[in-house]
This record gives sequence, C-alpha cells and structure tokens, in this order.
Amino acid sequence: MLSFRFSLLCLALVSCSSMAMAQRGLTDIPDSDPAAEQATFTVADGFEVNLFASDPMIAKPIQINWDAQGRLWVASSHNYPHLKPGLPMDDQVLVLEDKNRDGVADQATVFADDLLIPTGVLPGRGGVYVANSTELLYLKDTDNDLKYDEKQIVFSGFGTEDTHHIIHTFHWAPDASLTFNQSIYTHSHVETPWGIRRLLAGGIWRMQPELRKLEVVARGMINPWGTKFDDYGQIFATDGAGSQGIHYVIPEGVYATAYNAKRVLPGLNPGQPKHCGLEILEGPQFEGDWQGRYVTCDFRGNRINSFQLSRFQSGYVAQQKENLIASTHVAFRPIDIAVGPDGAIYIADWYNPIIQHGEVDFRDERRDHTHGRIWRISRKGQKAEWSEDFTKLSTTQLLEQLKSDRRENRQQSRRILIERGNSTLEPLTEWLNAQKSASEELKLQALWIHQGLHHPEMALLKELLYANEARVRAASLRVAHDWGAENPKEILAAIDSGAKDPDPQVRLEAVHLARVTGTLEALKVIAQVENQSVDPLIDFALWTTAQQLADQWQPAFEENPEFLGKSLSFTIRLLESAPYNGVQKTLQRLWTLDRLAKDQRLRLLQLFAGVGGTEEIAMLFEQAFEHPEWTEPIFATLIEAAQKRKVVLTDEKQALQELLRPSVSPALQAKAVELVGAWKLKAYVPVLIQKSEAAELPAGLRRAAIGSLARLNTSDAIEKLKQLSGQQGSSVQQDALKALLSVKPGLATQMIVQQMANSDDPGQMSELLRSVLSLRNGPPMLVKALEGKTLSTSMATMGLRQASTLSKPSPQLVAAFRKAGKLSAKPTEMTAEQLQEFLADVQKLGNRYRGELIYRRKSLACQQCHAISGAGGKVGPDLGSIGASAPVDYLVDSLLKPSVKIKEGYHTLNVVTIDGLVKTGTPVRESQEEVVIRLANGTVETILTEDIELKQIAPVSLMPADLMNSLQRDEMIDLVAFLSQLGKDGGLKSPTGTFVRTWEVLDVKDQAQKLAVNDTIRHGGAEKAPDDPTLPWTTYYSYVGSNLRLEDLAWMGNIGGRTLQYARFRMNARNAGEVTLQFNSVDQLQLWVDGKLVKSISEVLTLPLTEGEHVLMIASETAKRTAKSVQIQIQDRTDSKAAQVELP
Amino acid sequence: MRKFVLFALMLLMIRTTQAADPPTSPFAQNERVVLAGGVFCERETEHGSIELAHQLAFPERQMVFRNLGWSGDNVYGESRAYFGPVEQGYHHLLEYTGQSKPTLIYCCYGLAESYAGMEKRKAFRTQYEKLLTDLSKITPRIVLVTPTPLVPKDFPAAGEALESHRKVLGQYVQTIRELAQAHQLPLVDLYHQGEAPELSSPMTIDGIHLTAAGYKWVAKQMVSQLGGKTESLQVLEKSDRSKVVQPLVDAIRLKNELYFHRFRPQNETYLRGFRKHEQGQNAVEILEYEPLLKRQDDYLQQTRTAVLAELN
Repeated sequence: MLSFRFSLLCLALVSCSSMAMAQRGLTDIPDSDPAAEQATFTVADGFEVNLFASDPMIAKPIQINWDAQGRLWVASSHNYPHLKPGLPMDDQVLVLEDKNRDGVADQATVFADDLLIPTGVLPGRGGVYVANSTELLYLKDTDNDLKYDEKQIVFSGFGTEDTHHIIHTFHWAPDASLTFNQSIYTHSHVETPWGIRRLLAGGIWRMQPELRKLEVVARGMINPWGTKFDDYGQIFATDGAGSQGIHYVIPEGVYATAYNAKRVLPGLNPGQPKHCGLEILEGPQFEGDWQGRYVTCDFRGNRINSFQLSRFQSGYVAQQKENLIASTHVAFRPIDIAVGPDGAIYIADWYNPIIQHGEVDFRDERRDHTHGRIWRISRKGQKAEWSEDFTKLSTTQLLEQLKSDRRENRQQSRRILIERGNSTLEPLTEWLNAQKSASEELKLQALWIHQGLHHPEMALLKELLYANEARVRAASLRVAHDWGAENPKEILAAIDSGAKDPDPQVRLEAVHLARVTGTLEALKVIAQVENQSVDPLIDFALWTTAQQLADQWQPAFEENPEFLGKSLSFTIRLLESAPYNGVQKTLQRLWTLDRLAKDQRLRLLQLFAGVGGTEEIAMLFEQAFEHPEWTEPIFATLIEAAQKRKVVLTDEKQALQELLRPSVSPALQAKAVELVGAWKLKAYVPVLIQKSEAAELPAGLRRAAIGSLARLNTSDAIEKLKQLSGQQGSSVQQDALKALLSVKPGLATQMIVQQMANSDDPGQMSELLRSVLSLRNGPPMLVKALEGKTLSTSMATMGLRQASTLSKPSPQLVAAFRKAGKLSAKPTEMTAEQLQEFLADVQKLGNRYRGELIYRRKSLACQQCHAISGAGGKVGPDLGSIGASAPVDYLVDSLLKPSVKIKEGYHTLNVVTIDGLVKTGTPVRESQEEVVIRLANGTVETILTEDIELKQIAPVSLMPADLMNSLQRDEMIDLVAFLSQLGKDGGLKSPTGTFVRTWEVLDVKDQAQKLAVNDTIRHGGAEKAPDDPTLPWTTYYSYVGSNLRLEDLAWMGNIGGRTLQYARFRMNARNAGEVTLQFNSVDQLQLWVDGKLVKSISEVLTLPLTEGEHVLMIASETAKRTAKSVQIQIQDRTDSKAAQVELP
Repeated sequence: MRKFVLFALMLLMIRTTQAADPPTSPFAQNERVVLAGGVFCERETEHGSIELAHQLAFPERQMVFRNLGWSGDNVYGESRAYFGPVEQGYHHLLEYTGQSKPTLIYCCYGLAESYAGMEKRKAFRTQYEKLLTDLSKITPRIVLVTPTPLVPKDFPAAGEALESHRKVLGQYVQTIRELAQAHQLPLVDLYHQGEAPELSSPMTIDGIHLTAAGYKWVAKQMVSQLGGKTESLQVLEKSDRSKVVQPLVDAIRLKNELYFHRFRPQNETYLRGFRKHEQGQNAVEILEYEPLLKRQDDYLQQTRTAVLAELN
C-alpha cells in the first residue's frame, strides 16, 4: 500500500492558499429546507416542536426577546462576521407577530435596517435597546408604524475587536436595569455622566437607564452569551467558549480569562460543552421535574441541554438532565432561547454549517448569510395560554400580574410598572398593604419596583431583611447596594444581621454589601462571618473586599494590630488578601502575640515569606532555633523569601552547622541544606559535597545538596557536580545534570546529549531536554552538542517534538534532531484534490472506534494535552464536541498544521524571565502581578511580573507540527473519523451525567517492573500504601463512553490466589455526606475507600464520606467477570444528606 | 518647532484683531484636518456639524477632515490600546494621525482625564505636552480645544454627579488654557465659563454628550473663534435653506463612516492582531477603504461646490 507519507512527499510544493481553496471546494452543505431540518429533531418526552418563523421572513437571528405586547424582537445580521468594504451597514432588527395565535409567525416588520452586526435587542422604555457594534442604541418608533424614527446613542466605545465578542445578551434585571455582556477580546471605554467606565476582556455590565449609570457587575468568562436572573435576583450565565456550564455570577465575581485576574471562580459544571443563551422554565405549563429547569444551547452539539440547579453552601450545584431537543443536522445552531407569551419555548436557530469565527476564513463560501429559523417547543397537546398585552393594563391590573404563576408575566408587568414612573409608587404601597397574605416573594417584587424607581423604601427593606426565606433576605441585601448612601445606619445594621445569618448565601450577600458600603465599620462588622464556615465563594468575596477596602483597614492595622479585637484570624485574612509595603513592623508585633493559634502562625509565616525584609528574616531565624517545632516551617519561609525576593542573611556564621549533623532528621537536614544554598553560604561547600556524594543518604537530601552546590557555584562545587553528572546509573545523575545546567550550561548540554545518545528511554530524558530548551541559548547549544551524534529513532522523535513546538522556531535544531535520528523531513500539506479524496475516504473507510484507539496511543500524546468531556489534559481545547462544531477539513488542517488555527484562549504565551529562562505555555490567567501558564507537560507555573523580561504571544501552537508523521494514511483516516464524530448526535458522545472519567492505573513498562510491582502488591496490598512510590500509578482516561476497559490494565497474579487488575480514582467531597455510585456491574469487583475494603458492594452503592479528598480503588478478577469494562456514575443527589463531590 | 510658533502667533493675532477687522482665514489653501479626542470627536462623525461649519465658513479653502475620535480616549491614548499596554494606544494615535497627513490638528482632550481627579492635573499637563511635542513632528499647526461644560440641568438624574465634577473639569480646562498660552498655541475655548450657553433646545442629552444643537453651537464657536464667517452658518439652524446643505451633511457622514471602518475596523484581533495568522489574508479589505474614501472625498468637494453655489 502506498503510504500516506509517500503520497505527501510527492507533493512537496503546495501553495499557501491551497487549504483555503480546498475549503471552498467542499460541498458538505446540508439541506436547508426547514422540513429536512425538523426531521432530524429529537424532542424531549412530552414536548413537540414546530416552525415559528423561517427564511426568507427572517435570516440569521442572533438574539430574541419578547415585548410586553407579545411580539418577538429579533436581532439579525447577514453581514456577520465582517462587513465587506463598500457595502452599507444594513443589518436589521425585526419584529415578528403571531396575530392569529396559531404558533406560527404571520408578520415580520423591519424595525431598523441600518445596523452593523446587531448582537443584542431588548424592547422596553417605549423603544428598543440595540447592540450596534461599538454603540448601545436606543431606537424609538414615534408614529406607530413599527419602524424607528428616533435614534439615540446611549453609550459608545464598546470594543469591536471580534464581532462575536461585541456587546450582547441584553436582558432586564429585576429592577428593570439593563444588563448586557461583552467577551474576551473586546476592550471598552465608555464616557458616562458618572465618569469613565472601562472594561477590558469579558464581563457583565449593568445600566440603569433613567440614570444612565453604567457599572461592571462581574468580569471574565470567555464568551458569555447567556444571562438570566432567578426569582430571587441571583444571576446565572453561560459561556459560549468556556467549558464550565452554567455560572453562578456574584457581584464583582471574577471568572475565567478576566483581565488582570488574580483569582477566578469556576462555573457549576466543569467539562461541559460550550453554551449559548439561558432560560429558566417555570410556570404551570411545565410538568414534573421540568419545572425550574435551566435550559441552554449547546450550539456545537446541535442540541439544547437542561440542568437542575440546587442550592449548595452560599452558591449552587447544577445537575445535567435530559436534552430538550437534539438534532443531527449540522446547521441547526440554537443560540438563544426564551419562553414566549403563550408559554412555549422559542429558540433562535442561527442556522449555519460553519460557526468558527476566526478559524474559518471570513469569506468562506460555506458561511451561511441568508437562512435562519425560530423554532417553537411546546407541551404536547397543551393549549397555548396567551398572556395579556401588558401595555394596555391599568396599574392595578399590572400589580395583580405580580402574583402570576408565569415568570414572564411577573417580569413584564414589573418592568412596565417601573417604566410608568413614580405614579406607580402610591398604588403599589396601597395595593401591597391591602393584600391579605402577601408572600415574601411578592414583597420582594415590590422592593424591586422601588429599586427601579430609585426610591429607597427602607421599611419594606427592613422587613425583608428578616424574611423567613433566606433567598429573600439575600435579595434584599443586594437591593441595599443602591440605597446605602442615604441610609448609612440602617445599612450597617443590615450588614451586621447578614453577617450573623445562619444561611451562607445571606452571609455572602452581607460581604458584598459591606464592600459596596466601603467603610471600616462595615468591614469590622463583616469579620463576624468567620464565626461560621467560610465557603469558597464567601472566601472570594472577603478577599475582594479586603483588597478594595485596603485604604480603610491598613492604617487602622498599622495603628493597632489588634484593631479587630479578638478576630486575629480575620486580621490575617485581610493581610493575606492585600499585603502591602510597610506592613513588616506590624507583622512582627503580631507574631509576638501569645494568643496566635498554630495555623495562624503558619499563615503569618507565609506573609513573611512574601513581604519580610532582612530584619524580619533575622528575627525568624532566631525563632527557628528557640522553638524547634517551628524550625522547618520557618526555614521554608526563609528559603522562599531568598529565592523569590532575594532577601538573605549574609552574616550567618555557623548556626546551621548543628542542623547538618547526621543525628538530625534527613528532612530537616535537607531544609538546612536548601537554606545554605538560598543564602549562598560558601563556608558550607565541603559539608554539601559530603552530603551530595553519600550514597547511603536519602535521595531527597542528596538532591537538596546538589541543588545548593549549584547555587553556591564555587569551583569545588562545580567539580563535584561534573563528577556526579558523569556517574552512570546513579540515582542523582539527573539531578546533577540539571544542577550543572544552571552553572555550566554548555558542558551540561553536551553531557545531556551524550546521555541521550547512550540511552533509549526518551521518557527519562525528556525533562532534562526541556530544561535545556528553557534556556534562552538552549537551542544553539543543543545544535552544537548534536553535531556528529547519533540518536535512536524514538529519542530523536522526542527531541524533534520539543524542538518543533518552540515558541521561537529553530529550524537548525529541528534539522539537527532529524539528522541525529536519521529522520526524513516530510511535508504536511495536501492539495485541494488530495484533501477531497482524503475526506471522501474518511466517510467511506474511516472507523471511529479504531480511531479512538489511535487517539489514545501514548506515542501521539493526544490525551496529554486534550480532554474529551473533561477527561484528559488541559493544555489544549476540550475535544468533547469538536466533531459537532468543526468541519472535517478544519480538523485535518489542524492536525497537519496546528499553528494555523489556534482556538481562542489557547494561544501560546512565551515568557522570558530576567534569569534568561524561556517559559512557554497556554495562559491560565494574567494579572498585573503575575502570569500563570500551563506548560506543554500540563504543569501550571506562576511567573511574577517583576521577573518577566519579555512576554509575547507566540505564533506557534503548543501542538507539535509533525505529530501526524508517524501515522499511516489509513490510521489518519480513522483518527479523523473519530474526531469528526465527537459530540455529534448519533456520533460519539460522552453520556450525560457525572462519570468517573479520570483514573489511575498501574503502568508497568516491562516484565521486570511488572514482577516487582506484583510482588509489592502481593505482600503489601495495593490499598495499604496509597502513596507508595514504587507503585507506578499513572493517569488513565476513560473512553468516550465513560468506561474503563479492563483489557488495558496490567495483571497482578497470585493475590490471595486470584489474578487481579487494579484501578483507582479520586474524588473530593465539598461537604461531609453520602455519595451514591452506580456501577455497570460489580461482578467480581472489590472496592476500597481510603484503603478500607467495602465489605459488601452492589450496583447502586451509597457511601458516607467525610469532607476532603478520597481515594477509591477497585480490583477486578476479570477472567471471571462478564463485563469487560468498568463504568461508574456518581448519582445526582441534592437531598440534605448528600455530599457534593468533585472529580478531577 | 519654529513653524509651530509662527503659526500660533498668526492665529493669535487673528483672534485679537477679530473684533476690529473682518478676520482673514487662518487656514491654508489645501488643508487636511485631524480631529483627535474622545467621545466629543467620535459623535461628531454622526453629526458632521463641525466639518460642515468649516466647509461653509471658509469657502475659498479646500479641506479634508479625518476624525480620530474614540470614546474614553485621553492624552495617553488609552482607548486605542487594544490588547496592549496603554503605550500601544498612544502609538496608535500617533500612527493614525501621521497616516492622515494632516496640516492641522484639533486636539480635543481633557474630559476623560479629569475623572482622575484634581491631583492628577499635573500628570495630565505633562502628558499633554508630550503629545503636543510628538504631534508637532507631524504638523506644528495644532489647535487646542477645551471640553464643553457639563450641564446638570439637562440631566437631573445624574445632576449631583455632574455638578460635583464641574469644579474638577474647570481646573482641567484651566490647565489646557495655560498649556495653550505656554506653548503659544491657538485655543478654542468651548468651556463657556462652565455654563451651558442659552440655546433653543438642550445642549446635551445627558449632561455630557452633546445634542445636535450642542454640536451646532460648538461648530459655530470653533469657526468664529478661528475667524470664519459665522453669517454663513445661519443655514445650520432650521430653515428652508438648511435643506440645501443636506447633501453636504450626508456626504460628510458617509465619508466619516468609511473612514471609521478604515481606522477602527471590526475584528482587529483576527485581521491585524494576535490571531492574524487566521484572517490576516482579509486585512487587505481594510485598505480597500482607501479608494472608497478618495472617491467620497472628491464627491464631498463637488457637493460642497454645488451647495456653496446654491447658497450664494
């Protein structure tokens, strides 16, 4: 068979544009007949779907919102993604009406047709708010022809750097303020009557229309195209480019990829596909557990997911439920969802086979510009109940609507009441007083009306601050944000009662309110939240508050370290949140307080490590000898201060000598040895040499000595490092080489290359090679060292991989590795014809199951960087729905030339430190103080901004360019067949629900190791020593079907007379409680929880767990077991006994 | 720098002699004018009043306007920075000013900066001086334009916030005046002692953003303070004759729109930013606005000739 390599070789010269041409040549455009699309729908039980509106009546709907008269407003853009030069800005806002109320739109009116990619539309305040690229517009129809004749730019200066990130997702908040979102690439600079507002990268805005007051509610998320308020005013959002499902958004919350973020909050469902739009189903028309569901569009997977949210701690947990609708039609792109005035669910189907924004050419002919649908999903056999025209209702009638069991009715009437202005106030109060038994929820709505009218109704607020329902208390505290200025005393009292509240969500809101209030008094009051459990959200809110109120508490602390009275822990929390220059003296005073608890002292040490000067370091050094129990943690502090901030004690004479005696524990000796190195105490070189070469000492101590020798950098030290580096087979040879690299890089590089030439274990050498390449002049040194050397094919391939993903490409190094390993250079491009043929073969011959096995090959290392539905590495994008979102030619292109298309959020950052180290990885987060990146090997590294000499975005993907070279053509066909089916309805999808997908299994390289491991287990039991380093536990990811295949695992013989296979997984319980596991089969299976055998197991198994991390291990006697795989699902439980668990 | 001072002196002379003699136009025969600033300039693109007033009041001159307004911008170029540090915005400001090949620059800064508070006034002055020095390398003929007054009565909902900021803004305006004097630069003072002028309709929409009436007032102020024929601006008011100038207004607005796409294109991230490896091939489309602009510039001049002829 003609190999793939060969056929590619024949076509070495291919023009750059061939790929673009190839895409245009493709013909996999689906049938655009709505009936054909509808035929592919699978709708949830009890629901049915009908076409409400379609092209040519509408095209390319982006956002839909209902007005108070039951008309559907649609933002539509045929110019997206980019206006062609010379063409007019003629995108539209349309109004759809179903006048005969048969569930099908019978009239479309163009309200505006002079817009540029309108991404948001929201009727209200007598007109309609429209997102118009850089502008927020207010358009008004003054003569009742449903065409605007008055236009006002409310605000401008919103960023436009990416047209699917420009302002969008317009919604009314409970107080009828306007919320809207922007996404990661936009940078907004807005002039308002209240000052300049800037928001860089993603976030959620709030605008009070009457005041024209604009503020940022929360920051971050990559592309948040869904926002909804629940009945208690809590905000939820979805991210169209993130992978964490629904987010609970707290005031001033910071989420993934926020600009200048030091900390970020996670979404509720890590590992989810990207979601667009969000709606809460609530009303009499929804039956059973559909009531209260959150529905959001998985536009890549051509389906709509649903979630059940329940309260957990101060936030929420979300459990995925069945899909509302799913389709196999690749152009079905649900992107917005809203319950209509007839109680049905309406879906904006953007209809497009192509959704990639940056990755596919703006002018790609397959981009659809003319189609678009609105689908209507209703309960089968249920008669539509139309709501009233709210604009025609009297104030009293509107007030009555606040009691409606339909969410939408309450929202519309509340908004209209607010829009009618102050004339609402009197009737509202009278009406509320006249209610015999007004629910707290009803009163909360009244409170929101007062809020919307900027009318602080303190009596009602006070009443609701003490409501029975905790969520009402929480909501009232949120309303108080707007009313604090005029009522400082009442607000302080509210914070006080909130801080003591038994419900964590109320305490969380109290912290927000204290922050907004911004006084020292408020901060002192909020210290009380530490009297109860501080969960992650409260911790975050306290951290933000401590930073924002630094001007208030820092002077108070300087004056008196005990300014908070008893709350030393809270004081330390403030210091941890916002350490500052000049704090050192007061920290010392704090350290001397006898009443400091042990954990508080440890936290103080961390602070000293971060800000302590030489005086503090000297004080601590002394303390280390006075209090032996503190020696180790204090040394750790001193080492950190020296290494990170170069704060050292140079006049240390011989005090450390006594800690280097053989009688001292090796761990403490190692710390002393490290400190010697960190402080560069040259007098100790002889002792270190002695420790480094003593084969009988533990490796950890020797390693520390070697590291310190390199730091001391004397000629004796270097001689010793050279000697140890040359000691073949020594347990510290690698450490010595790495140490030598920092002082004699040229020599060490030569020795490392020699080592590579002698060895055939690329795994062992790859870290060392990475160390060489992280030196700025690493590549040229390697090129030199490789001259005349011969490497094995596997060693050279490993080298080639590292060389080809350098952020600053080095063709010389690539060539040097090729030469040393006698690897041939292969082109990785296809002509248009070849691509066509290849794609046809993927359809005809590709086998997705074989493809999955290829994907899982260690040599390809796909899993090292990519996850499928959360299982796998985090360096590259999750591929769980790649097949549903990416055209097949795009997949091929990305495999062959990874750097051509780089997914947003996964660009490669190249950081050069002042020490000359080059660090390359994908960004995790960046702030003014630090840059956090994920390196190619998956480790996360934090680099302080002050240590950065240069930071740039590299034009190179971390994915090696020649990964595919090792595949034959048929293998590549299978791999593409696999990827192209991922996430597709009818293709390969991870099942809905929480499954154990990340495991650890015993990875034995050869028979000798297998025997050794088997021996250890037979005598010790795999369960007894979970951290036994001789057991090679290695990460293993489940197959797409969320199962672990037993055939992949090593066999351990003669364990109590049986042959067993082992696997284990970890789970973190966020609270103490029960977890229920569901096994596919427990036949011949044993289970240990934290080393204890579970005596009797069943397919549905409930276990009690304490809070914290747990290790669950299974052993299978597979020869006797019928099922050949293991699948474990964690059942969704929200009852009071349940533990909320997180899987890695 | 010498030319810079000479031009300034000339303009100053014109201003001081304005009362006595009919002023001669300070503008050169062929003028390319850049408007640089924040939202004040940005929204002028929609109204076109400032340009219209110039085109009418200096009939003997040829003028091409380029509007570099960007909401929230300041003398640091902060709004133009995209993904980069603020300095990148500053370079963007200089780059696009240079690219417009101006013979005269209106610098309309001060409002956005004033929100940093009184204590940042000195930093503002220092940075404005740096900007003027850098801009004078492009053309020495620079006119400083002060912010317009804040108008709390137009927008009582934010009345207190506007009122409390007036004092600060007044100080920044004073700094601009001092700067003009120190550098002998002509100044268009729109601050009007901090009070809104008496107009037939409100000057602002929300206390800061100008209405159409506000822009007309500004346009007249600019022209008259620089010695233009204000009587030719009667047509700016609603009258039968205002219809005559409508084609010129339309031409100006379309030209501004085309330049907006040239100067602030959407999708910058992909066309020229850090993801240009994906869509960089389409960046050529940005340059396709050049011939469109040229054509519109020509059309604008023809329209102007026709309009002026009809007005006379």
